[in-house]
Amino acid sequence: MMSGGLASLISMHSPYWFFPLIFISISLIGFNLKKSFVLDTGILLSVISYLFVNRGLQLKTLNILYIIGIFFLFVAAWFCAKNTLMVQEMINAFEVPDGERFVSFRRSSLTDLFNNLILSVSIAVIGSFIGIFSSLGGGLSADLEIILMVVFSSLVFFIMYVITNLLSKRRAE
Amino acid sequence: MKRSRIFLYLTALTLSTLILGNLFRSWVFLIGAISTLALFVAASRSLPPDEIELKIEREADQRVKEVYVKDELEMTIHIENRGEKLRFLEIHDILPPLVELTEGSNHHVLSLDMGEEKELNYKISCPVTGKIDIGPIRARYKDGIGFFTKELEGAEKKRIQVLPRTEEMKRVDINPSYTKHWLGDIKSKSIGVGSEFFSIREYHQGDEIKNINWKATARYQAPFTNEYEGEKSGDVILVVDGYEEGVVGIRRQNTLQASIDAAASLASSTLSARNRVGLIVSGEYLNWVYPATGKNQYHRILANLTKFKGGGTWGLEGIKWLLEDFFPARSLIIFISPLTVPKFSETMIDLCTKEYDVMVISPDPVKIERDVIEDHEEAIEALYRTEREHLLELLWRRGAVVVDWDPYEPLEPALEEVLRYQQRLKR
Repeated sequence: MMSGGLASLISMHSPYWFFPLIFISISLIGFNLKKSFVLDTGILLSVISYLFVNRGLQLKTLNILYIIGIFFLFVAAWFCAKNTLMVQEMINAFEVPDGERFVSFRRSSLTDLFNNLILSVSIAVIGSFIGIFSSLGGGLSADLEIILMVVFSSLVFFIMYVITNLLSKRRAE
Repeated sequence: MKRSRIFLYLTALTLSTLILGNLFRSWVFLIGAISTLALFVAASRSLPPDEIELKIEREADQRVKEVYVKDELEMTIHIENRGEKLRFLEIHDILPPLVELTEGSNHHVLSLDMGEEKELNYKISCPVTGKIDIGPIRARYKDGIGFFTKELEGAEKKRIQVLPRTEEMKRVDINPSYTKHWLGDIKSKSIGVGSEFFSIREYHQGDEIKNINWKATARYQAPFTNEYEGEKSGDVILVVDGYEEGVVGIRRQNTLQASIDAAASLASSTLSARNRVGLIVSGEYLNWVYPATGKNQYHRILANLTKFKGGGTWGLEGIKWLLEDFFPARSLIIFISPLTVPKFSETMIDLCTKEYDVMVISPDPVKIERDVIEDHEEAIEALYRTEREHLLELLWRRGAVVVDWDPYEPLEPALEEVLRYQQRLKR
């Protein structure tokens, strides 16, 4: 809710500033009702609406960081909610609830989650700057732009390889 | 390995940002797409190891395959990780619905380093007889976010036989009135092989020297021999009523389970007195065990009681032909029935008129119903109780020995009281 409110607050220059707030409310309802589909759809729509609301922003370093920051705030909230629902589901499935067991699981899974987010933010920041400056320029020399383009293309291929690898893993029966 | 739906949403986000970016020609959507792709790269860190080598074994206490009802059985799950480190491993030993967990847990989430071994312990008990299958053990790898789930091989099921609980009954002697010619513990009131002195007679050639009564010999100046009261045994047939409409209670606690426990106790008691004991069970199917003696016979009876299920349409009236045609005459027939079906009492009364001793042990269904059902009407209960008392009295008058038994109390005191009363009546 905080991420949606913050996104809407910062986007008040736009006539559609309230869209992220509405969609984040939907995801909040999904979280409270333990409906994973509603939560996921709400977050997806709120991220897209946030990007849409800020589509006219000027290309500046600060704005790039601002977009990435709020984006990952949404993602962090989403992953925390998913983790909470997963732990709750496991607690309900246990015949004899044992809080101690879940505290350690929760702690290590949240550590894992934040490590992943930090890595994602780092890759996103580097990738965004390379991508933006290689494709849209920004006052750099032509040689540097070419190098950045090559690096960016390599990164894209690398990411495509990772995604293909991930998505092609055999589904268990 | 299963991928979660997060991937579907991330893919949708990537595609929508790319499409919208091209549509609105905005760099903001490009940043969104790059950030989403970065998430994919980060997710690859959460991939389960390619080679997961996990050894899972279940060890039951003493390699037990048989336990008694409500006895605790300790289960141990031994886990060894022979592969890479596993951060989030979920272990679940599936238990059937009726099995109760008394200590510990059969469901764990743990992490295992390479080469690490762990033991998980828990205790279970089962409130009903029968065969139960513990397991299989399911192992599942999960990452912290829920990107991936991988099912791993666990241990197979373990079958355990839950036997009825046997009550020791040392203070009661349940013996048939009619004895047969083989040795036993029943005083036959005739001369034979035994330990109780009966009378003396003149010595005949061939009599054992140890039986000579030296006092009488000295008095009468002629050899006299002791005679003893013959100890014989008879036939006892246990009949357990599992007729579907007659069973009262819930699956964990009902008149049939009480009847099975009573039958096991009676079988143990009457077999230890060297009687021949047989069994007839009527419920889902009609089954019987022909009378015999010994420990093997006890195990045969227990095995039949263990697998016996209530239900079906085999009522007690169908047992008459079985008794008359296949079982020895002049036996003590012990009916174990809640007497909720009135027509069965006619079978019992009919048998009383023939050369059978009839005993009826009836677990009180009202007591069970009162315990398992919260809403019970006092008026209906009183009416049923009156009908039941009338039926029990009718059976008494027709010659049956009737035991109105509270299934929550031990059977021995109820039997003892009734048998004492019967002895007083005979005098």
